[in-house]
Amino acid sequence: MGNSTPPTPKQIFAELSVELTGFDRAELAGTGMIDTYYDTLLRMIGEREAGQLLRFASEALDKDRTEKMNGTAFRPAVIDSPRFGPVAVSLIKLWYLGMWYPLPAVYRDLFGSTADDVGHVVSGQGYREGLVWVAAGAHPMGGKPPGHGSWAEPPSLLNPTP
Amino acid sequence: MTTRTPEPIKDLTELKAALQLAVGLELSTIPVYLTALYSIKDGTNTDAAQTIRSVVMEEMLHMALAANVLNSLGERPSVRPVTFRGNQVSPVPVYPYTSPLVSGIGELALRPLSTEAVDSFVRIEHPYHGETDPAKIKCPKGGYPTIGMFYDAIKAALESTKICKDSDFTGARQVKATEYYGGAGELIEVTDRKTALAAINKIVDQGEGLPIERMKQQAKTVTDEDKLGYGWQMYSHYARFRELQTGRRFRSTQTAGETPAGSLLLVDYDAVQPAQFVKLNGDITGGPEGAALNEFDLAYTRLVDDVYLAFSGAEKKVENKLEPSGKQSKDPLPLAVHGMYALKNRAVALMRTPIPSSPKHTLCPRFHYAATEDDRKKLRDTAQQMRGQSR
Repeated sequence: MGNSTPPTPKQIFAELSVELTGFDRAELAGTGMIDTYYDTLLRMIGEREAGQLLRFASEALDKDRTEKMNGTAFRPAVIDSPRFGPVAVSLIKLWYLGMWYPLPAVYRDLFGSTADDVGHVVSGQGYREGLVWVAAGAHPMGGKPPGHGSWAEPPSLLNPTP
Repeated sequence: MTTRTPEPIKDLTELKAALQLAVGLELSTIPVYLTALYSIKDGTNTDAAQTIRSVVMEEMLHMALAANVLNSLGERPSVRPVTFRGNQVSPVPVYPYTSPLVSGIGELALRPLSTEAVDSFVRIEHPYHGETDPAKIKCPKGGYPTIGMFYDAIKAALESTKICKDSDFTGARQVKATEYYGGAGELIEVTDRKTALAAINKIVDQGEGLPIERMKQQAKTVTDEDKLGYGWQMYSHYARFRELQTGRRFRSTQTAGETPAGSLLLVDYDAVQPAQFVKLNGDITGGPEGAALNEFDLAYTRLVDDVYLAFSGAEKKVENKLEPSGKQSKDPLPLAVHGMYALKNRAVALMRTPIPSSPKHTLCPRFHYAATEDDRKKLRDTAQQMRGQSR
């Protein structure tokens, strides 16, 4: 990404998702879920709060990158933060499972909540594209069929391409 | 314009080489159609997707049919370059691909579903590849102006007892019709001259080698063998793609040469991923996007290898940690089928991924077959490097 133009909020969201999931930019884009999950985040915590999360995340990631801090800036700024940590955890679950898990009571007591913040499946595609299947070398049951008899093969992770 | 008459096939060696190239020719159209098929956004363009998919299924059948004929004559299908009339020709194409064997089809390019893509499909499947007269098509030295003429030459050779004796048909290593296949037509096991000709006729009937006389016959009339279980009747690839091109169905009384005038076939060219083909080492797409493209090529390479391994009757040694030796022998055909499903998922994912330097476009699978171990190592190594670039 060039240094001249500042990244768009969605680009920061993608970058934040890369950091949270351990999957790279192309793998996340390949799920086709970036737009949907960006919208989900905004629905769950509101635009103002999402803006703050993205700002802190972006600054921390920049710092990690430019000063070669290897995640030591990101972790305290986002993961260990009482304000952003629980949101980050819900985002990780969202990417892996295609489902939004509501923010914990402790978080709500401190930072409030929105009416939409309830447990729900975000979309059918989200289930099919859940990162959990790739991470486990498996496939979503009822979606992305891997072919007759494929159950006799070891998981794809143990059996990489040539 | 040179009017060279295509040469007849002169002996068994040449027939075998021609059949090797026929297997490759059938393979070469599949990525062209698949790129368009997989570019269609989920849940849209149902009819267009069904049409393209049905043709791809039959191209796979044709590839297996050509391989059965070749195997029956005692030759194993192979990806290695073939010497055909003094030219070294590789059966597996690199895109964009201009066939040195059949000049009429022109360049095969990988494009998302678009009017240009559909125009090229119609050109590939037209008996004279869009020309009114095959004499207008330049005939390459040692090659053929049209796919129809190429298969005519193969048929003439298979009919000739001078070129192949009855005892030359061994019936070896046949892919059997009992393997699951959900498309129109049936796999023919080639045990003698009659079944060999039936196999080639099946390829020609459904597909690209369509004789020009068919243009004067009803577009939707076909042989009974090509009826699917649920009643759908196969009709020629040309007629199916003409329907896509014009956005209209043929009426049952129309001939294939007419312009379809039946009900509308709804094609939405906007509900398509804006994938843009960039050839290997063309515009360097680094980063995780470049790695994803390389990994697709590696998956495609493995798939092609598995298909050819299955056709050559070999077993595949795969790693299995549960076996005492750590290795296990497997039938490569089901492995290839699993590879096809995996390839689809990869292709769909690529076509959702924006190209960083041109975010309005998305990645397009290259279907690059890495022929040598060196090529494969290079793909693997650069993938690893590129992935590291933005982590």
